[in-house]
Amino acid sequence: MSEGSEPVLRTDGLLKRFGGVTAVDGCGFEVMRDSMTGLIGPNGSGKTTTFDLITGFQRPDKGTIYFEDNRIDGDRPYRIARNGLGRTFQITRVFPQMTVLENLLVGATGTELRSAAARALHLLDLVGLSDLRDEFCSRLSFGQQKLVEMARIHMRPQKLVLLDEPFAGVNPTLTEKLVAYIEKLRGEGTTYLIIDHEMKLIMRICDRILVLDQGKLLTEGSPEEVQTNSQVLSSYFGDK
Amino acid sequence: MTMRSKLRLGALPVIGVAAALAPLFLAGYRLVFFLLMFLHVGLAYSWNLVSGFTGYISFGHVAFFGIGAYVVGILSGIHHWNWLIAVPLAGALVLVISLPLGWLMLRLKGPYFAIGMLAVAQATALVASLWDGLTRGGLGIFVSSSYNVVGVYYGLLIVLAVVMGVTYWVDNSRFGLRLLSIREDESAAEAMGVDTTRDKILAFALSALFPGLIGGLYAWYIGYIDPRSVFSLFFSVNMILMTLLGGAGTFLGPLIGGIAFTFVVESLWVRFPEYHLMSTGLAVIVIVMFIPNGIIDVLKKRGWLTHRRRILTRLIRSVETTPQKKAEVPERV
Repeated sequence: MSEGSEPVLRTDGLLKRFGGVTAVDGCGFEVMRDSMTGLIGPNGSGKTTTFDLITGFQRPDKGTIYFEDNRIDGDRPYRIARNGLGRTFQITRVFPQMTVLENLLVGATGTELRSAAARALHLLDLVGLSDLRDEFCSRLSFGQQKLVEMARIHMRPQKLVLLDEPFAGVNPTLTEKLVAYIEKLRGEGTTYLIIDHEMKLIMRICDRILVLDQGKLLTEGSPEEVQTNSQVLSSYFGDK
Repeated sequence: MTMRSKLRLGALPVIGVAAALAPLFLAGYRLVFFLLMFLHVGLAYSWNLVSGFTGYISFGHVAFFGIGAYVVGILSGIHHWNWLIAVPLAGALVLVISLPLGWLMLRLKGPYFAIGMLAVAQATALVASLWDGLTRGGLGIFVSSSYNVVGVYYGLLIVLAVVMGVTYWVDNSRFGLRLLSIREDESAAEAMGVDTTRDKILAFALSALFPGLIGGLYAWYIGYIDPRSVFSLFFSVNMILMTLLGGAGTFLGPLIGGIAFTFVVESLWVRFPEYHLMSTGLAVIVIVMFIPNGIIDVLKKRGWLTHRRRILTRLIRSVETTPQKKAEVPERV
């Protein structure tokens, strides 16, 4: 599926400081509707902080964030989520002492219960966890927890999903399963912004790449353009 | 509905009728024993509503109990209002106080909330001690000169039935699932669209209402109140202890914990009056070390109880057996 021509997310001049450390420094970019966009950069470049700013978990010191036509910087996270901007976290955060099904139903907060239940059964079938729906999440393997988290975030119709290292620590078989799942949902109208350090994978599945370095947008472009960009190579491998 | 479920549901009205008729057959200490059991179980259920379901451990719920006791003390003891009017007013006042208090206190998390609530309880006790004009300070209030066991017994039975009903609803509702998600991971819950502030405040208010009512009934039962007796930290500690013993964040946990606690405390109180407080401390250590998730968890692990939310089970069954309902799944996923 090709990306749309209008941005679903627009950030401008984002600034976030933690004491003396500037985590995000005047960052501005757009994510086009229906696209799969990668957000890459060395450790500490401000990727997760950018996610936190977009989803309301941190308030920017300066700058604006527009989701569709609504300004959302400073909004509460639950409001942003209910408007169709979902996220996952770097470390899988399922609700361990709740069952798989209960986890999914929490993801549908604010929607009608009966259709939420039907949707949960459908998603569990899609990720192959139907047999485990009454199992506590604490008893699942790491990979199964990743799948629960991925299904849970799609319990409500999402316009944009931010995935923070969805493939970290995941074996190649499950990685391909997750990719297939994401691509299927993308084909049905969800836009994705993905952070990951699996460069080959990101270059393969994304249409566009944003590169952050020291809180600034270093460059953006197609995977081919980014891979040959000298500034990107320098930020990852250092100057020689 | 299975035969087992029918038996279980059928047992509740039978127990209810037996409890309602008990004052016809029981008197003296035996009736007081059940009165105290209702009081303990009711307090455990109240505490469980916020602390058990959301994980916000409150060390200060005695504040609501004490305020409820003082409202009845002032209205009935000093101004001679009928206690049947004073007790609901005590609950209403506590409910009103709990909303802004919850909004303020629930900004704190973990140990800060626990200590903050402890400070609220201490501050409330101090106000009761110092505001002589209203509360008669350290002199206390003689609430009633008569012995009011039967009336209070029924009052506590009604409050207990209501708080159990509310807990059953919470445990089987999406509201309950949202509260549990807050306990498990508040940030993740918010990322799922849960308005955590609103849900926590609602749980906090529900959790404050019942100690207010129970405190009011206790004041009418005990006949004399002062700040030391109705703001005693032991009430808070006992609420925590009973809930943890039975199983926090569950429907049956506070019932099992409250009954077990009443039997143990009353037995020790009668036989070893000088050592019974020590037993409370020992009980805390034993629970935390050996059954941190309560008796309910042990029963579930042994297969004697199943984890099932009746409403969800019914819902899923109905969705699965109605193929056309699948059409309700939005096309996008």
